[in-house]
Amino acid sequence: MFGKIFEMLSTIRFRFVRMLIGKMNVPQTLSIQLDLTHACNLRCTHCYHDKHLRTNEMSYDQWMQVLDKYDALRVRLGKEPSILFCGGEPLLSEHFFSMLDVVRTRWPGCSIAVLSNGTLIGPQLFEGKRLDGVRFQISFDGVDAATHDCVRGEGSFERSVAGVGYLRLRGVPFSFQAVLSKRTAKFIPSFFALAKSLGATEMNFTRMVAVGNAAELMARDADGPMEGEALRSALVAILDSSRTIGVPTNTAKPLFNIIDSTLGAPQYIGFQGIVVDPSGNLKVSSRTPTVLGNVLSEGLEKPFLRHEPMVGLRAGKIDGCANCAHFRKCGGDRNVAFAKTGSYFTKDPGCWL
Amino acid sequence: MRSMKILFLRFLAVLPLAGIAFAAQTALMTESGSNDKIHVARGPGGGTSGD
Repeated sequence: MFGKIFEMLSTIRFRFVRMLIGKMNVPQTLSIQLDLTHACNLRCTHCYHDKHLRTNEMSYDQWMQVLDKYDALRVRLGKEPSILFCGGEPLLSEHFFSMLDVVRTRWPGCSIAVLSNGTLIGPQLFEGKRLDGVRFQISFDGVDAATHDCVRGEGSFERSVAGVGYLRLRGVPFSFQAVLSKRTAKFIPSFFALAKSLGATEMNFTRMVAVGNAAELMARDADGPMEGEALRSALVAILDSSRTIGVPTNTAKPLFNIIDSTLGAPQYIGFQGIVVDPSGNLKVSSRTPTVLGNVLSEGLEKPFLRHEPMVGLRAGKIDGCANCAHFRKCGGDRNVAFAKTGSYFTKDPGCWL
Repeated sequence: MRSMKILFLRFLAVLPLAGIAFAAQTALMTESGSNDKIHVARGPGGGTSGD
């Protein structure tokens, strides 16, 4: 009796908050990235993880607890669900297909994305498995075997291309993502051409964050994040290539607003995008090591809403950006700032203003 | 008009209603480009990226 009344009140509250939020220009989803495993079959030279050990990984039941806590928080905040499976390589997790079924059943029609290196995708793993409602993001860090395999290992380009060929055969949408660095910036138009030729829906870039293996690369001067005028030129090249080659790219990211006032969005770290690692740790973001708490022992709501970095990020306390006209549509890359300065609250080192 | 809107959002941001206060904080501190849909297939924050 009381249970039903409570459930009814919760539903009314959720619909009321949804109605109000629906009128605001804010993200309507609360996404959660589930890093199912640290394990990976590749050893990329720039990876933000520097080891891929399967230690202290959560059981299926513990992942279910994480999903329960996520659902409670997203209902409280009046948001729609959005699920990302990541790792390591998520396809190496024994829980991947069962979690996929759970998510699909629990939130019918919700956005489900799998962030994969693409090398394990094929009939051996996917035959007889449902892939409807799922989209993949496949990582490419070169435009042919020579430029890709030197980062991701011999034969990986060929295997990833075969993987996306299989997705195409099954009618599963996929986009590509490359790490934007001093090395890859040279290939920007070719990345778009590759995406077009293989049928990717988007060609996206994420800036190199010098943590994990990437920090070592940078120390050896073998590669590194772009800054200043070089970075501005690379972002302009991304926009130009997207337009001329006709493959969309995600411009809802920091710094694009400085180039074109009709583009750009902040990363929404602190507002959006919950990241839970294989041990149940809630992280500020996937690309930095800061842990806010353990979801199994401390829940999700308190660390996400009340932990100091999250409160500060929501208050917009960024040194050097406070008076910038672009701030609300830019915010600077908080991961890149952290990697360079050890603080989430410093100006984006890549900013050319 | 804009300052009235900001004042209203600030009021909502301190309400003890988590969903509305959170959305008001988001609206105060962030905004997405009006033209992003030309280049991007999704709205911000909800897509693939791993950021």
